[in-house]
Amino acid sequence: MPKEVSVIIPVLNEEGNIWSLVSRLDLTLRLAGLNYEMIFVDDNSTDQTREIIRNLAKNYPITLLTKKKRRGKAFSLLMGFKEANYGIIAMIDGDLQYPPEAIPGMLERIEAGVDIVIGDRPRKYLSLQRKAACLLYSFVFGKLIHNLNCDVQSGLKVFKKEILERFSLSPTEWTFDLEFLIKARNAGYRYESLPIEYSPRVWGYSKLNLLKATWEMAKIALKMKFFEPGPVPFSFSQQQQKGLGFHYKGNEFLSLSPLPLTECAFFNFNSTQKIILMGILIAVLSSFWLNWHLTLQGGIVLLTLLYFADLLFNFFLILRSFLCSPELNISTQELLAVKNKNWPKYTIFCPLYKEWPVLSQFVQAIMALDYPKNKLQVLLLLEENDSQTIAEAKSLKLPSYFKILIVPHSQPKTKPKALNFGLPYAKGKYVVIYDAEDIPEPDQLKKAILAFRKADRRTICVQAKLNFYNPNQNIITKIFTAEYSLWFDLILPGLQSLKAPIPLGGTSNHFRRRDLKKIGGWDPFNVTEDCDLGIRLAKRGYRTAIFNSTTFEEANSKPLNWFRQRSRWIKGYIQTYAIHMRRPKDFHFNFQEPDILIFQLVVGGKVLSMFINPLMWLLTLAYFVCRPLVGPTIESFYPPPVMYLGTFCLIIGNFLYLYYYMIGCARRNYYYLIKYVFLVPLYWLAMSLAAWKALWEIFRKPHFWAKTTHGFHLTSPVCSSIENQKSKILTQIQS
Amino acid sequence: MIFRKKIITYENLVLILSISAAIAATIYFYSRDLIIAYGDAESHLNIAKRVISGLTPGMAQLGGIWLPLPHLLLVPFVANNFLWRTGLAGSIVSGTAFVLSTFFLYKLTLLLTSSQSTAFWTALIFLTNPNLLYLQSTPLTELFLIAFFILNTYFLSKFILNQDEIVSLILAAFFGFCSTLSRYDGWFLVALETGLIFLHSWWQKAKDQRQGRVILFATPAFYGIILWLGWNFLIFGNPLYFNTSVFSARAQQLAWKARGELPAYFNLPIAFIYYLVTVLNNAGIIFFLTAGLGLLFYLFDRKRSFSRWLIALILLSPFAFNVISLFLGQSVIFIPSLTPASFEWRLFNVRYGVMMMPAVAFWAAYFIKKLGKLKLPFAVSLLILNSAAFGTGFFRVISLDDGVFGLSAAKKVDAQNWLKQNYDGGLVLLDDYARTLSVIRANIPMNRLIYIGTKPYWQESLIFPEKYSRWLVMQKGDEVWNNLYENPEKLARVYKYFNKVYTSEEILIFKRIDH
Repeated sequence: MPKEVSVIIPVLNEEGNIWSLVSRLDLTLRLAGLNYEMIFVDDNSTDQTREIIRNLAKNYPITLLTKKKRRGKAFSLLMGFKEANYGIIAMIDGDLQYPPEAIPGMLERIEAGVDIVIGDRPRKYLSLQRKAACLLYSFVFGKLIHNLNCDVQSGLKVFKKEILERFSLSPTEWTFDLEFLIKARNAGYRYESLPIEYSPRVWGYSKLNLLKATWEMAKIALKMKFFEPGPVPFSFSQQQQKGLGFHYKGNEFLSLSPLPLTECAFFNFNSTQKIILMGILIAVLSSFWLNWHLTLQGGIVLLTLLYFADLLFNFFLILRSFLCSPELNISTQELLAVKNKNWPKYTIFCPLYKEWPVLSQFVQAIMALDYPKNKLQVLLLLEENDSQTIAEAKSLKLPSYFKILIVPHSQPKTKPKALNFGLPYAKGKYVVIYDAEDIPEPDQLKKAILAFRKADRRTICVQAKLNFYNPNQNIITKIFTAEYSLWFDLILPGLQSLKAPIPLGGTSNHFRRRDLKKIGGWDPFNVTEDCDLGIRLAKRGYRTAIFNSTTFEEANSKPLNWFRQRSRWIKGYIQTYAIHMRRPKDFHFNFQEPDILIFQLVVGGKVLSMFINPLMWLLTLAYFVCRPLVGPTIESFYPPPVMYLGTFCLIIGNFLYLYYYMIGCARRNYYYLIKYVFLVPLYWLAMSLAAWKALWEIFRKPHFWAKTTHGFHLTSPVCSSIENQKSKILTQIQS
Repeated sequence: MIFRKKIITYENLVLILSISAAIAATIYFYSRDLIIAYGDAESHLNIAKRVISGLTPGMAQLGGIWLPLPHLLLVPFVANNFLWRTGLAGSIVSGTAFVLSTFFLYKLTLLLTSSQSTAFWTALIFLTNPNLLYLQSTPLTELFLIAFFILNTYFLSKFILNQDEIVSLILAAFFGFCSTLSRYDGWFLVALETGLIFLHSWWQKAKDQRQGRVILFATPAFYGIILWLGWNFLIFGNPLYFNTSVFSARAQQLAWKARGELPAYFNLPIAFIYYLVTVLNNAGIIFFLTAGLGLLFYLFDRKRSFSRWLIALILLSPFAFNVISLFLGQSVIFIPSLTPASFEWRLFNVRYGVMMMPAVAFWAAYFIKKLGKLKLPFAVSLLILNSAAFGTGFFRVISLDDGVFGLSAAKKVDAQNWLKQNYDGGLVLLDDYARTLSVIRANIPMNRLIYIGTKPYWQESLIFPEKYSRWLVMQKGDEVWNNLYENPEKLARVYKYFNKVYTSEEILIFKRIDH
């Protein structure tokens, strides 16, 4: 049982009850062996209440506070809490209806781990009016609206003082209890009810104004329903113990990141965004109701312009990637010129979750890195509940520069959270992230360092290209390889040439450790933390460069696995877009570096097009197949200039988008994959379906990380050819 | 010649000379009212004009017979009525194509010979050819194709010679795409090149890359063809409308065949000779023979290689295409030196011979290069001789002749002069396909013209001529004549609502009676 307690007693004209209350409290608490203090807060009594308390203070550990400002029990309590010296607070009304003798029992519950104990009054001694009020407050305002199963307005509560330090309260006269309980529960505290004896009032009269109290309670109940309390950061001691995090709706979240929630994907949309979205929805619906034809026409005009802008932009990017060759090129001679002893320490993060099938492959790939092993630190970040991978890791004879870190089970259970966990353990001057299935080119770390030296001062991240070692496994991997080749070999270098924000790849992004810390690490709630990081660093005026090294990964070969992964990526892009549009003016903008415009196209437009594409294709198909029926109607949606623009986008735009995949394959020397590019429209359809799933997940489970299963290539019928492919890659690289 | 690199390079000189030649030639032919001498020249201008300024403007006005790209390129310029009516809109675009052709022919030669002087001679031979100089001042489509052909050949040659592989292949494909939308010669070109790329990869033993390279090239290169077939299907309900419709070249050729005036039809030697002579006449015998020698040297050069032979095939592809076209009856050429005197016309489509000018210029210069120290005096002499021969009329500028007094010449009928003086507004019903008269020379605004492409005006006017039209212009045997004049009922309507205001042997003009 806690040894100390501060008892807070709000009083107003209770001269007849004070003496009994004090002696009962003293007896109870002394018998329980407790150090205590009594803090009376007098709400401007007009009787002898204050004089009696002052007298009693000569013999008991009593402090009397006289309110000068706002009247009301709630403010009296707040005033008293502020003066409390001990870690446990017991609040009790001064009317002697609540038994002080119940306090020790309540303290025992606190010792057992409960954070707030509420004295539960039996209803039998309540007047009809009070019974009705009790029903209203506890059942309607408490249980129905806020799902609080307790006697909300009970005047006897015992709780930990630290609770009050976690959040602020702004009650009205009678609404301390409801607000306190809601916010405390939101902050992760547990509450419990303890039945108590409740006596009828013997002396004095009730100060409760039922109507006023009911009105205030109703207002606060509804206000807190519509404007729910936000996340509550950990207290200092919690931070010391667990790291950075917060509570929200009673759940604990360990972010391990200094990023404010305004820069995190914990909430998809802030209130301003919600209002804007709602406003847009209302405007569109109203417009549709007033003139549906004009509305559809307007929508189509807007979409066509967007498509056209995207078409031009992508063409420009591809052109620039050829004309400018912007990626940083590190030659073998440059690598050889640096002596081994001069390479700095490098930390590799590898977050693993249920990756035991590919762990040994990863270890081999890291061991194959051409980097002084005494300058290497490899941190395997394993999840606490992933016993199989932990067992596998421990069973392998890991080299000394490997270290296993177990990430304690907590929410969110994401890769970026694990990375944030590992970051304080990093000792390297440089850091990089690899996934479990990755096989980086052996000289990648050295190239990254030299790339940093070649890059300008604004470049704080260098990104290696990603591609796959199992392109031939099946149709999905073939097209996936084509997609990656396009993205990493053409699009990203094109963005680099414009000094534009670059959505990072999931792995193989290299940082100087200090820079990574400076920008706040990873957003633990974003399921594409890589994309988010790339945009965030650009917003802060930094840049990413692509350099001439490749990490080979396993391309997803199973349709459902692919689908889950893709919907997660799209969900992450939606999150990233929403986060970074909270404060668009934070984007760096000038005419040479119109970051915000590029962001709209690369992230926002890309996602939007996945939703819109199937509809536009359907419209096009309907136009040609059912032309006599619907042709004129569809044509009426397209003003002539827009019709031509739309047709151009249809026949030239779609062709170009397809052809870019071919160019990407050729750039990678994957000529044999080019013919599969004709299947890409089906791939696009699958991406659109994944986008709709992502949208559903954004609202239903925004932080859910759909784990991508790896290792299918190990059991594939073409496993041996994949192994050959991997060996070939490694041999080519090493030669 | 030694040039101070910083001031004048061979490249700059080629540009300057080609631009100057283009402008000078255009001024010359404009001053003699020869830019729209060809009937086809006006047709190309009118198609472009209708897209933006017709009675029913829109892309459907591009039609389904001639390929659309030249017309699309003309559109921005024909928007100006002066440029349209004078044909200078075509001069601008064809002239630009001419300059590009010359420049990239220079670059192609440089690529193949590594000799700036040889490349310069190629360019000079090309840009001094009078047939080319004439055609580049007109809206005819030959220069469009030549430009795309040369650009395509240049980049494909770079690819074949293993330079900038991906970019070269893509650009070659792109210009192949453009050529397929300019003239049907382009279709043959890209088909041939697809096969050559396959051969090239096979020869290089690049098995893994063979298929991919072919697809990388063929996908954009053939896309133009797919688009055109789709367009024909969309607008006319038949993907092969361009070949099967009554307006197609094939239909025209069948008419010649019916008259027994298709000499090369399924006769390969005749087809070969016809085209050979056509090329000879366009190039001039001097450079034609020089090129022949140059070709032999090229093929049997000690530096010969499979790659170089492939490139030679590409340069010779227009020859193959035209011979095959003649053989299959898809086209016809009448040339005085070969066409029997019994034929009604003995000069037609001879301009097709200019398609070989890039090859002629290249191989002629190639031969000159082989002469070593004699190349400069030889080249200068040839140029002077050639220019003098054409200038004095010893060699005919045969492509110009066809437009002036060949079958290609636009009819100059008195009716159009009359209409120019008397037209005072209102819609004019006219079978423009039959080229009854020149819309340009008659000064009729394009958006006042009812012709076959103006639905529903055309169809309804052939039943109720008074519904829209204020003017009816009909020529014996054209659609307006056949529908209105030959039909007694409709003729009665014509006379009920119109007065005959112009009469000639072939053409009648009616004007709406104003009440």
